[in-house]
Amino acid sequence: MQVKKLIVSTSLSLYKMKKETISPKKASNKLSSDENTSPVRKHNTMMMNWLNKSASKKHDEQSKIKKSDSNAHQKIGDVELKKNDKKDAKVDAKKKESKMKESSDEEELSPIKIKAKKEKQAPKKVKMEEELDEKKETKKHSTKTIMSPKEKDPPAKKGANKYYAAYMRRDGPKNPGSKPVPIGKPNCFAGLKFLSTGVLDSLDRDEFKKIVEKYGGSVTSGMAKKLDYLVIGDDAGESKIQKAKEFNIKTINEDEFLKLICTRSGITNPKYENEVEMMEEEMTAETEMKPKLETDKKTTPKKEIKTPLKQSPKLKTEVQDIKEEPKVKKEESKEKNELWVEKYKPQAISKIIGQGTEKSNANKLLNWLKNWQQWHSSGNSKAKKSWNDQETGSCFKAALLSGPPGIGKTTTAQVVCKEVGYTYIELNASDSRSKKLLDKVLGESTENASIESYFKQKHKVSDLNKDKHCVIMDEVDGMAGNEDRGGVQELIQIIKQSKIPIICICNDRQHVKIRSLANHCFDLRFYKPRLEQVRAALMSVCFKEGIKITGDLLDQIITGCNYDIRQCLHNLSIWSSNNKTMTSTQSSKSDIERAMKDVRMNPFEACKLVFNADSSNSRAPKNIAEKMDLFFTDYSLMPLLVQENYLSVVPQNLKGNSKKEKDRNHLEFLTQSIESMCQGDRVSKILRNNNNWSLLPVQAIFSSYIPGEKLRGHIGLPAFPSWFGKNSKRARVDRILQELQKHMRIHISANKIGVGMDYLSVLKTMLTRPLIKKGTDGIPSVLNLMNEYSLTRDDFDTIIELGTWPGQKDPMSMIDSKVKASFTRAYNKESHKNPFTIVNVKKIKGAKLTDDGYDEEDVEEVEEDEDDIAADAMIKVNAKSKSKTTTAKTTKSVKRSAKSNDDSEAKPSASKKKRT
Amino acid sequence: MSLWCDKHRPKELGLLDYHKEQAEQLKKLVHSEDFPHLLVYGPNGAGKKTRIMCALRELYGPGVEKLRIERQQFETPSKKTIEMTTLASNYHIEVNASDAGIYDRIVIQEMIKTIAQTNQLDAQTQKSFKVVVLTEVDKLTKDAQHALRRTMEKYMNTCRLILCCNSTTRVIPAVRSRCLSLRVPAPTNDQIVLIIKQVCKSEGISISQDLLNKIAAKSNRNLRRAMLLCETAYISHYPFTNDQEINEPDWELFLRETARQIVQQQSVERIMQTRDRLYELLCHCIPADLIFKGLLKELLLICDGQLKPQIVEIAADMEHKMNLGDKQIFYLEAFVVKFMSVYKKYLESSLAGSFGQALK
Repeated sequence: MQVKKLIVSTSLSLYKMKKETISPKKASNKLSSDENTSPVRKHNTMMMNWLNKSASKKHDEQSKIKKSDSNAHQKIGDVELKKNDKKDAKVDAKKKESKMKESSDEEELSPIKIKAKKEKQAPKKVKMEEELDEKKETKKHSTKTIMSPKEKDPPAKKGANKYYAAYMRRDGPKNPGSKPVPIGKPNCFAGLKFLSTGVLDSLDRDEFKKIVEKYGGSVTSGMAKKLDYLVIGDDAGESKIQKAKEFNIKTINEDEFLKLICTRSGITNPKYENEVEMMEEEMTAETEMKPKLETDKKTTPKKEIKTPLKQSPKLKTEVQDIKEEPKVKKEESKEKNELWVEKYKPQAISKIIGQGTEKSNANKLLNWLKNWQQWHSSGNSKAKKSWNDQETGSCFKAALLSGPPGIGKTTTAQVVCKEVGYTYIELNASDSRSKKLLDKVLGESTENASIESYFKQKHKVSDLNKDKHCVIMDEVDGMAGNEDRGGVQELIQIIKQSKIPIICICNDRQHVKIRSLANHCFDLRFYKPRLEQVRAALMSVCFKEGIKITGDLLDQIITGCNYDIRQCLHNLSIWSSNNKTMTSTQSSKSDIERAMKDVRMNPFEACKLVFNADSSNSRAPKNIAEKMDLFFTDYSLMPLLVQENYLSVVPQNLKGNSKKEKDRNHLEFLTQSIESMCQGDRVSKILRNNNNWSLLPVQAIFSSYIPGEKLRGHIGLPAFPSWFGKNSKRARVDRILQELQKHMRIHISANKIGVGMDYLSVLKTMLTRPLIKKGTDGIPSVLNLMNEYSLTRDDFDTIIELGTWPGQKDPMSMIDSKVKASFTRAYNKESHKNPFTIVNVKKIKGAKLTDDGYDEEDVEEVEEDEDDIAADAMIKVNAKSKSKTTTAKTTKSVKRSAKSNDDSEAKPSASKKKRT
Repeated sequence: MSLWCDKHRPKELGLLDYHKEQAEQLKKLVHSEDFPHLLVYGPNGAGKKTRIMCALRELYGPGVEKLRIERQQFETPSKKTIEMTTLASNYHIEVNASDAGIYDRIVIQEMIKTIAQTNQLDAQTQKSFKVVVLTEVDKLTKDAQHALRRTMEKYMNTCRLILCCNSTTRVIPAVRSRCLSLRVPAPTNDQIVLIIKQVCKSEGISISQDLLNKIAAKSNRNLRRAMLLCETAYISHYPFTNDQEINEPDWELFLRETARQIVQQQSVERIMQTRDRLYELLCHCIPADLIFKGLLKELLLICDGQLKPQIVEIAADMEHKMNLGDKQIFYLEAFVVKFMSVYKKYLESSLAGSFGQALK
């Protein structure tokens, strides 16, 4: 019985609404909107869905009862006082609600059961059919799209209460964006005044207003004699139409309005703007959020639409449903569970935050993809490098999108692919991406054409594009660990051979692995969007979701999330689930503060903040604890960073009147800072030696807090501590000197420091002078000296290299290249019986002699070491190859022989290791 | 044709040119039955290793001069292989354990112990013990030095240690007390002059007294350096002239220029430039204490008398702190900045004072 009641009531309500020609789906929305908080809602919508289904089945029956139906509504429609409207509506709602509650008991029943029950009940069936009939009519209406007021029944006949209810349930434009808006001449509406009443078919109120204003017209808020046009849509207000008649104002419908643009600008074949709607949707939200008072609100409450001030729960959901409409049609239940992030995922490039401009990354990527086939067609596989490579990426087969999380990199890639008509395979960190698998999955796909295109004939995009596809490698920097070993290398290989574009996405572009990848990719760096950009987008979402939020609160959320749009949306959705109105009260503020994204600050930013004097900076630390936190971003790097950069700070509060005094003051502050840093260094040594890590806060005070306090001021981009490079260089020189000392040890008594300080400069002159002065005649004496001290040819180079100080002339450059060549030849001719095995110290990895004990830095050192060596080696090779190619060869052979020596020694030990 | 400093190195205790009494004592020590562990210390270029070699020769005969270089490998508990190069004769072995850096303890434990544990095969014809020369003991970590303690006592019968270092301050007292300390002071300028004169004579070179004095002065009481200076001078210009420039080592020139720059201008930019120069020195493995010393020496030459004590104090303070600390550049820079601050203040006040006087 309850079910029966429910159905009766719903069909009744639908019946009442017949005049407004509302489709069942919308009706269901409305119904659900009435009880948006109760669980009944879900049930209801389910029911309605079911009804809809059955409706289509009983299509035939509809026509039969159509006539009787049309009579029915006339009986109902009696005019009542408007004052009673609200009351009635409320009573209606209450009644319904109670019915719904009863029916909620039935929730568990499956649609089939309900159906069975229903079919037993004959009287209900008729009503159902009536209702179905309505639906058909609705369809008729919607297909017509043009709604002239004449077609409608005189509105005066309607019951006012129903009228109000209808208003409350009124939808947005039925077919938003369905009609192209012609582009007219600017100011073709100059001086004209428009007023729209009712719901237009394709334009919503603000779009309408925008169009009018765009062409120089104005939209009035109430009826007036001066009005030029009244644009009428569905549910037009009768009073307005009447008044229009009284005042002799032209009434037109939407189509006529659009035509008007053409006629007034004298265009016969109008061009249409397609993107207008897209842009507008975002804008609407913003403009509507601004509280605007409509003057005629009281007089014509039916006209009133979505002002935030008046938002009853009903309206909110209604608004929401309007926007969701296209999706609602498909799967409503799924929709409800969708994350906002998915729900509001941009579908067009112009809608991606911060990517709207001509030169945005998204558009660059778009152009790159568009032209990809052209650039990399089989003919010119090796595209020439040109000056604007980084501009267009023409020579790259892959693109690398990099940037912080949550700013739309993946979305951009997907949207761009869609836009160009590429189908894409997406691989992310959830897929294992080892070398093997990549080769297997990608290797094939990159060389094949998509099979999909053969089956799908109705591709949206033109036939030209139909077989295009690409690979999106998401989260490339996540390719790590044992699972994905060699993944990046393999990816690079694949990129080299690829026949399809590959889009790689990563967060950290500076990562070691990514750096090698970046060389093969069209580098597109994404930056955090600006506050205003995010704000605008979020405002629109808030509006769509019916959240009331103040601008400054939203700003706080955005900065708190560090411009991470995804997180902003998540946060908003969580907060709004409690409370739809968020004002800057204390509680919500504290909520936001708590939700401040703990951004992993990079040490450079931290260093900047250490010296920060700008209190307005939202991230600026406020108290000692926060300032000490800066130190803990990387406690081994921060002291060095501060030391490297404290000199380049321009302090703000220097005492003194003259520049001299200020300079002196500055020096004083510098002294205090560096002394404190020294103290910190000592603390650090103690804490590392004794593993007494509880001393870290003490070091924080000395190494970063005090210098920061002393030298508060402006600082540019902090430089990377040169200490690392210098220290590894020193370790290297130390190793070389040690080796040198070993070679000479039999003949000298000095230790390596003695060699470095005393012998080097003497040996340098002794070894080069004869060659410079006497040329080839000097060779024997030099060789003699070398043999005496058991120096190898490499030692010779080392001595020259280490013995030359900055500002000194390289003695090698003074030696004639012929002399050098014959010297090397002479050296190689002789056999050298060295009392030691030759080890190429420069190539020893892992730095036997890294004198500091901390492991993290060791790793870094080794890396830098290699760089240094590589750089040095390069310089040497270059110098040699310039001066003489012959010697280069010979030296190589020497090195080779030396290597083979090493190998023969190294092998047995290696095999021993294996055995053990 | 090796360099003079190596060519004319005395090989017997009797031929040593200075500290002759000490040489005599050493000789007596060798010939007495008991030969203790030795701790030889003194500045660079004073002749520590020469003296040690002479003593060894006294002990074992000329066989110790047949040296060979050997490489040995060790594995740390963390599976890292360390390669050590040793210098050895049939009777002794010379190790610089500090080459192994932080793993020196393993070298001491593994290598020294194995050497010490083995007995001499033929104790009749040979000495009953062999000698391990450990160089740069002051650079050993504390752990390594502690590892040395037990070895020194336990294997006294088979092995004697000769420790060689620059300063005993960084040698733990426990080790110091187990050794007979032997200080080898640097030669005086007169002794240096005398030695160079002899060397020149045997090389057949005539050299004037002035030049000798000059060289001795520049050598900083380092005999090795004096010899090398003399030889470079000889190569660059011979016959010698009286006003001949003595080419100092490049790093000293560099250091001097650095000091000059510091005095020239006291500004932030100059500090940055100085930092680069200091890094350059450190990268060439010039010990930081020598950098301190060199800077201070140059700065004192330029400073007024009033300022001197203050600056010496700053330098001493910073050097001391540096030894306690970790990253040397911090302290060098601190010294530079502090000096600039003090010096600038002094300059301005004295300038103002002189202006005031001029006005009066």
